[in-house]
Amino acid sequence: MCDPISMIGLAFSIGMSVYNMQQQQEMANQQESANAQWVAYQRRQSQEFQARDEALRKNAEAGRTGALDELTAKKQQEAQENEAARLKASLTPEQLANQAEGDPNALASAMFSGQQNGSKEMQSAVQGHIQQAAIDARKRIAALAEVQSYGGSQYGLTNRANTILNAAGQDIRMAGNQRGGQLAAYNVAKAVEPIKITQYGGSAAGGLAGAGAQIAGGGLGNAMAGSM
Amino acid sequence: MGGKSGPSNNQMVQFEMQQAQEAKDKENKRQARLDQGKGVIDDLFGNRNFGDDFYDKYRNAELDYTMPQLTEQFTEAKRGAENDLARAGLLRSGAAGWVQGKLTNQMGVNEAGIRAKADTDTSELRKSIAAQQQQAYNQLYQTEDPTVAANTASSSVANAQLTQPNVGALDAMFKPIAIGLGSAIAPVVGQYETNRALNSSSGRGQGSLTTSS
Repeated sequence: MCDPISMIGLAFSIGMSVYNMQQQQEMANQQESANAQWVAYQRRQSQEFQARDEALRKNAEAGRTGALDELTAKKQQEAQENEAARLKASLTPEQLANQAEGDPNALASAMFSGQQNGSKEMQSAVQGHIQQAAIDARKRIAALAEVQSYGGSQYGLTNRANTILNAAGQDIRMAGNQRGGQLAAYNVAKAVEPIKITQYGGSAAGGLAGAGAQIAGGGLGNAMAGSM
Repeated sequence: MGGKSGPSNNQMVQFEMQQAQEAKDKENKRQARLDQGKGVIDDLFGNRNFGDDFYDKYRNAELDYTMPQLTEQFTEAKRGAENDLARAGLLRSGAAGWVQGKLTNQMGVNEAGIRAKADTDTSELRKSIAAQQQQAYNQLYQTEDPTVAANTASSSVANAQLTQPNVGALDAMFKPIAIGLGSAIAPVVGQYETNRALNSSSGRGQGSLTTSS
């Protein structure tokens, strides 16, 4: 026969083991739930980051492609021709333009003083020379305007391209900076760890189960020894 | 990642794998955009758009500006030589031919120099367009990689520069040829040849035609 103490110890040991298993199962459930929360959090963070990053990338892309649209050969040539026309008008002295167009007053003003009293034929010949010289000068001024319009003038081709590229560069750098900040913030979110569930008292329950088993084992041992 | 439960936790492993796949897809898309973007830039700044016609326009504009100056100076020098030769009675002499040869030589060499300068200046325009293309490439990489953008933010963008031709008046391109001056005031260089040409051509043994260098 088993003594009552051993029986109580055995029952206690079994009870504590069951309790311990339930605790471990509970802990596993809690850990799984915590992991699920962590996955959901990380997924949400990832999706939000990707969406923000893509939006900022599109901002940069819009700046970049906008600049390229303005730098096509057609648009650059149009801009250069407009600038050449502006320069031609700006560089040509008004008097010279009038002389080239045959304005009699402008032509007469360029004649030497003694020639004003000469014959009509002579005056006409001299004025013809002056007009032709003015036309030639205008042609060369037009060529000068053409050359200048490619580079150093106010709205010249090179200045225009630099302005466009610099503006796009600012947009891209701004977006890049923001993307860098977003990435840093996301890296912090990625470093968040899931909650670790620890079973407080679990070892105590295990210890108690062990102690119960020891008592039950001791009692059973004695009973077995007595019966022999 | 540290702190995660063991490999038995399927959803965390699944999540990590999904993240890896998304990163891979994103990178593939990024590379496709880079390929496409580079292709657009190559085409935009390539020969189809910025071909010889574009650059020839610039070269011709420069020549249209400088060549008339040269032609004008040549005409003046020729007219002066004609007058001087006529005054010296040498217009139909071998000496006149020598002077004309000298002027023609100078005209040819000067024109070649001007054309060479126009060609070099056009090369500067090509460099300027190439610099624009380089900036476009840089911006493509900055757009697709924020770390590149961040790294290049501190360094200023190298702007395209076009070294413009000197649009001032040309210097005197033709060396003056003094005709009919006494040999005492004529420069030493060319004097011997000039006088020899004059004497052998005129057959009169008088007068002089000298060049100054």
